Amino acid sequence: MFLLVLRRALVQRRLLAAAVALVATACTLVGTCTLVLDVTQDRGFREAAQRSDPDELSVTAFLVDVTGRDSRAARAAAAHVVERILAPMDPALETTTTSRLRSLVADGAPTGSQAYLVATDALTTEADLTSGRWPAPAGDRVETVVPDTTARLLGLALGDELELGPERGIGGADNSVRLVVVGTFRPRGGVEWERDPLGGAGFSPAYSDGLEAAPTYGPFVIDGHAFSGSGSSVDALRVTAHPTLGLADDASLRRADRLLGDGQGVLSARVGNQARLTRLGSDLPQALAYLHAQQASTRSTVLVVLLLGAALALAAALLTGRLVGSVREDERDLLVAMGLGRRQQLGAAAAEAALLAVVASGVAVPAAALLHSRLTHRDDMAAAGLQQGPSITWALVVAVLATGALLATALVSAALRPRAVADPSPRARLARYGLDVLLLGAATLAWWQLRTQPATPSDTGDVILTTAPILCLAVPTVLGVRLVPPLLGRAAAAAGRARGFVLPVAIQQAARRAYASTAMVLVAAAVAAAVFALALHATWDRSQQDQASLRVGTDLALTLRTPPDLRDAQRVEAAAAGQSPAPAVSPVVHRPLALGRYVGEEGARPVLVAVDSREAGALLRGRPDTGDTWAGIGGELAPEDAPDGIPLPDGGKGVVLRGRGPAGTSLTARVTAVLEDRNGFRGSVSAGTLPLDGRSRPLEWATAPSDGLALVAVRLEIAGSGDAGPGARTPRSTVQATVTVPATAAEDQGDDGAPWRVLPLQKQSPVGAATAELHATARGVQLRTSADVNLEYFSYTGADVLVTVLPAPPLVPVAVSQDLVDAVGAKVGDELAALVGDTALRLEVVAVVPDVPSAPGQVAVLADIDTVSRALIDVGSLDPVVDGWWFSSGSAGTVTALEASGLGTVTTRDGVAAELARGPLRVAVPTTLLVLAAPAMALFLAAVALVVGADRSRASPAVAVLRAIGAPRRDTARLQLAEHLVLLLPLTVVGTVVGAAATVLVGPHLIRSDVGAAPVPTPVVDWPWPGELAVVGGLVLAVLVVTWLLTSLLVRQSHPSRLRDGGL
Amino acid sequence: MSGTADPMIDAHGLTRSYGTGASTVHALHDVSLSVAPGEMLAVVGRSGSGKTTLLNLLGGLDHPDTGTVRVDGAEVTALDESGLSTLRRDTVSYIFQTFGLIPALTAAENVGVPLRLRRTPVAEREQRVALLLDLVGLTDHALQRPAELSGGQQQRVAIARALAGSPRVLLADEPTGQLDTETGLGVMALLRAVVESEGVTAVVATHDPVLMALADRVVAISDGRVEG
Repeated sequence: MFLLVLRRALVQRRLLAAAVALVATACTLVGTCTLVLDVTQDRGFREAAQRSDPDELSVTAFLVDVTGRDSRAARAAAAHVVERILAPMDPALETTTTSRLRSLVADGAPTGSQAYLVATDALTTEADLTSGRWPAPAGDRVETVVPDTTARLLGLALGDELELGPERGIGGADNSVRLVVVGTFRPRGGVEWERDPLGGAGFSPAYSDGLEAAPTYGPFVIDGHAFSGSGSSVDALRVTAHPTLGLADDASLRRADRLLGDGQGVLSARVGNQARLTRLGSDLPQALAYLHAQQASTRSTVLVVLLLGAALALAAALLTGRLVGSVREDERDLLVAMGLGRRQQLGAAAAEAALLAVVASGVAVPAAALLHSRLTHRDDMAAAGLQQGPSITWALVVAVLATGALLATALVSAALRPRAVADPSPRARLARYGLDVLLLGAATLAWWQLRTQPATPSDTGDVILTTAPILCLAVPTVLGVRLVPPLLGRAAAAAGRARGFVLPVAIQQAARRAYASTAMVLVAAAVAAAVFALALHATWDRSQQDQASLRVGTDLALTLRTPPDLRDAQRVEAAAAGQSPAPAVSPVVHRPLALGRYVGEEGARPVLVAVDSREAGALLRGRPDTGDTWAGIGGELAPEDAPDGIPLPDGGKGVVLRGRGPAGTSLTARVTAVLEDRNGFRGSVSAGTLPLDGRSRPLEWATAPSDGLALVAVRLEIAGSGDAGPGARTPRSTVQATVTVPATAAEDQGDDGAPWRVLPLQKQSPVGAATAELHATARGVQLRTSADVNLEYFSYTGADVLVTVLPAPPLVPVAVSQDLVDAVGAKVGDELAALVGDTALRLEVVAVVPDVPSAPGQVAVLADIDTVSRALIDVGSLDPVVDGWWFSSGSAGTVTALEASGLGTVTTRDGVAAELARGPLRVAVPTTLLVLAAPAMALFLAAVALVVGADRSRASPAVAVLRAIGAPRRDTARLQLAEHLVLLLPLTVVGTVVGAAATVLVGPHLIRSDVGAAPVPTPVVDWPWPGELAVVGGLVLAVLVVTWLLTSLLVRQSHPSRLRDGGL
Repeated sequence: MSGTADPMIDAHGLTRSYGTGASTVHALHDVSLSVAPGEMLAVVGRSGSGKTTLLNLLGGLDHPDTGTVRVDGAEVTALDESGLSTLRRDTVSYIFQTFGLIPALTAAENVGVPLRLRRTPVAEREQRVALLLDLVGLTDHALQRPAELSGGQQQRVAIARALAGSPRVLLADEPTGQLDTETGLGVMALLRAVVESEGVTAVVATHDPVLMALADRVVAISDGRVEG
C-alpha cells in the first residue's frame, strides 16, 4: 500500500506539490504566530521591563523611629529582606536615613525654627548640585549640602557654619551638631523627594512631626558616616533595592511579586523590635500586572490572526482535498472494483497524510523561523528592540507539526469523501438551514458578548476577543456565499432572454455549475480576512493615537514635580523660545477635586483640568463631540480680560510700604505680593513683615522679582498689639497702608486703571469700610489702602486682607466630562460646589464633553486657568495652582530644554502614541494584522487557481464543442473568462462586504487599551482607503490575470479535433 | 438540394497521419470522395478505420497532411482559424457520437447556442428552437438539462442543435454509437427525415449495417483507404 501511495505521489507530483505548498504555507503562518506569541512576547516582556521606570520595580523597606543610635543592624536586616526579593536581578541598594527634628540655633540660642539631617547615597541621582560640592565623609567638621531654598531663606553661603541644637521631643539626642555648608542643590523631584519631610521644598513655615508646628528647614544632607557620628536618632530609615533591569524577565518578576507577599512578615520578624513601624513598599505588583495586561491584550489579537489564518488554511486544505478526490475518482472506483477495502483506503490515506504533514512541516519550520526573523527586523519591531535571528523552539515545532497533521488529515479525508450529492434531500436541506440559524445565533451571541464586555480588564476577555471575530467573519461569509448561487440563477434567467453569446451563456453556465461550497467560502473568506485585517490595523493604530491624544491632552506636557515659582515659569518660557513657529503655551492645573460630597474612588478621583482656554483650539487634543471643537468649548470657558497690574521695576527695587495704625498701637503687616508675568502666570512672593509706623519701608522680597512682572494683588496680614497705653485703644480705628512703585517702571499705569478691591480673607473679619485706590504721583504709582479695623480682635488674631485688581468671577464656568454627568447627574446650567485642596470654588456647567483632555475616562472638569487662579486668589489662596505646562507643539529642542530644566516629567503625545502602538509588548498587534493580510491574499489566489484549474476537465469538452459548432476561439476564451468572473467577482464582493461589516461591528470592540481595558476614547473605524482599494483592486486584477491565463491555456488545449474520439 | 451539378463536398487525395517515427499511425491514405448536394452519404468501417478522421477533415476540425477539401465551393483546407469558425457556424454542422451537449444548459439553450453565435434576434431564436425541438419530438423536455435526458433524447437535442443554424452540410460521427439499437434506429430515421425536409447534405459515419439502408450512398473505409 505504501508503494501505491509513493507511486501515485510520483505520478500526481504536481498536484501533491501544490498540496504540500498549501499546507506548508498555512503551517508557516501558524508557526510564525506561535513564535510571535512565544519568543517575541518573552523578548517584548524583557524589553518592556527594561524600559520601565526603575522606581516601579524597586522594593523599599521603611523603618520608622529606629531605636538606638546605631541603625546599622536594622539597615542590614532591611537590606537583606529587599535584596532577597530581587535577588535574581542583582539589585543595587540605596539607603536614606532621616534624623529627628533638631532646633535651629543662631548665636547660641534657639531660633524657634527646626531642621533635620539626612544621609543618603541617592543624592547624586535625585538632585543637581547648584554650587559647591557634595559633602565628604566626616572630618573635623560635618559637611553638609542644603537645598537652594533653604540656603536662600537662611542666608547661607558656602563655608558658612551653623549649629543644629538638641533633638526635639522626648528621648531625643541632646547634643548639638555643627555643620559647615559645602554646597547647595536643587531636588530633581520624583518619588524619593515625596518621602522627604518637606517634599524637597526646603522650607515649610509650619511643619509638624506630631509636636508643635514651627518653621522648618532642610534637609541638611550629610555623609552617612557623619550621620552615625552625629549621634542623631533615626526618625526614618529607607532601604531601597533597585533591580538591574537588564536581568528582569517574567520569571524573576513573578518571583519577586510572590516574595513581596510575605515580605512584610519577614521584615517585621527581622527588624520589628528595632523600629516602631516597618513597611515594605513596592509598585512592582502593579508594574507586573501592567506588563501582563499588555501581553494579554496583544495575545488575544495575535490569536485572532492565528485562528483566522488556520481557518482559512483548513478551508483551503478541504478544497484541495476535494479537488484531489475528484482527480482520483476514477482510480478509486477502479481500485474499489478490484477489491480495495475501506480499511486499506484509510491506511493509504493515513500514510499519505503523514507523508504530507512531515514534508510540509519540514518546509514550514525553517520558513516560519526565517519569516519571524524577517518580521522582527521590520522598522517598528526593530525599534521596539525585538529584532532577532531565526530561532526554532519546541513550541514552534509542535505547533507546525500539529497544524500540518490537522491540515493533511483534513485534506486527505476530503479526498476520500464520496461525491457530493448534486441536489440534497429536503432533510439535508433542512439540516443545513438549521445549521445556518445556529451559526447565525452563535455569531450574534459572540458579537453581543464582545459589545457588552466590561470596560475593565476581564479574565474572560481573551476568549471573547479571540472567538468573536472568527465567528463574526466566518458565519456571515458562509451565509453570504449562499446568496451567490440564487443571485446567479436570477441573472441566468435574465440572460436566457438576451441576444448575445458570451455573457449570457457565461452567466447560464456559472449559475448551473456544481461548485464546491468550500471553494466559494475560501475565496470570500480570504477577501474578508484581508479587508478586515487591513481595516482593523488602521483602526487599531488610530485608536492608539486617540488614546495618546486624550491621555496627554496636548502635544507636549511638562508635569512639575514641585510647585513652581515665577522663575520656573521663566525657564519654561525660555525652553520654548527658540521654537518656530512659536507654540501656544499654557500653565496647567491637573489635580484632584471634590464635587460636593462626591470624591470618587481610590485611584479615580474627580479631576480639575484648567488651561488657557483662549488657546484651547491649539492646545487641546482628543476628540470632542461631533460638531464641537476645543476652540469653541474654550470660548465658553474664557473669562473677560483682566486689567493690567502695576509693573514692577527689575528686582522690585524701590517698592516701599508705608503704613499707619492708630496712635498708640504697634502693628505690623506681613506682606505677600501676587505677581503676574507677561504670559499671565501668577505667583506669590513673600515681601517681609513691616511695621505700620508711618515710615516708608522697602519691601523685603524673599525672591527678587525679575523684570517684566506686575503686581496684581497684595495680601496684608496685620498683627500686633494695641497695648500702647490706657485709653489709646480704640475699638475701630483706621489703618492705612500704601504701596508705592517707582514711576520709572509704572509709566503705563495711570489713575484710570481698573479699580482695586479690598477683600477680607477671614470669615469673621475685624476689617470694615475698606477702600483701595490707585494714584499716579511724581514718585510713582501709589496703591493706597484704608480700612477700619476692630483692634479688639488683635488680642487673639489679626486682620487679613487682600488688595487686588483681579475681578473674580462669581462662578467658574466649566466643561464637564460625560463620566461626571453619569456620576453626579449634572447638566448644562447646573452649579457645582467644588473643593480644590481646601479651597471652595463654585462651578457652573457650560458644556459637556465626552472626556476632558489628560483625564480619559474620568470624572473631570475643564476650566480656564485664569478664572481658576482669580477665584482662588480671591479667597486668599495665593500660591500658584499650577501642576505643569502644555505646549501646542514640541520641537526636539524644546523637549531637550525642558528635560534639562529638571522641572518635571516631559511627555509628548507622539511619544505616548509610539509607546502604545509600537511598544515592545504592543507592536506585535499591527505586525501580525499585516501578516494575516498577506497569506489571506495568497490563499485567495490559490483558491482561484484551484477553482479555475480544477474546472478544466469539465470545461474542456464544452470548449471544444463550442469551437466545433462555430464559436470563434476568442469568444470561447471570453466565455470561459466571463464564466469564472461571474462567480468570483460576486464572491469577492461578498468577502469585501463581510470584511467591512465585521470591521464596523467587531473592530472597535476588539481594541483594548494597553492595560486590557476598554480604550478611551471609544475607537472609531478608520478606513485605510488606499490600502483597501489596493488590496481589493489587486485581488480583482489577480483574478483576471489568473483566470485569463488558465482559460487561455484551456482554450488552446481544447481544439475541436480532440473531439474525434470523445477523448475530451 | 442545391440542384447544381457541382458536389457539395469534394475531397481529393486526403492523407492524415498521427505521431512520428515508428509509432506513426496512418489514419487516412489518399482518400478522395465527392458528395452531391442533398445526398446522404454513409461512411462505414470498423472502429479505427479512419471514419472520424475523414469527417474531421471534411468539416475543418482537422488539417490533412496532403490533399484538399472543398465544401460548397470553399476550400476548407485553405481557411484560417477565423474562416473555419465561419464555415462551422454557417455551413457545416456536427453531430457527435458523445452528443457534445453543454451540460450546464437546458435542451432549448443547447439548441439555441448556434443561433446566439449568429446573433439571431431573440424572438426568432426562440421560435426556431421551439420548431426544432418539436421536430425532434422534445418539446416537453425543452427545460431539461442533458443529464436529465436519456441518450436518445440527448442525441435528438444534438441533431436539433446541428440543424439550428440551417447548415448546408451535416457531419454525423457515429450518431447512434452510444445508443441501443431501437433508439439508434429512431435517431437515424429522424436524421434521414430532417435531411430530406431541410435539404442538407449529410455525411454519416457508422459501423452499424442497419443504418446503411437509410443512406443514399455508402462508402466503405478500411485502414484509411476507401474500398471499392
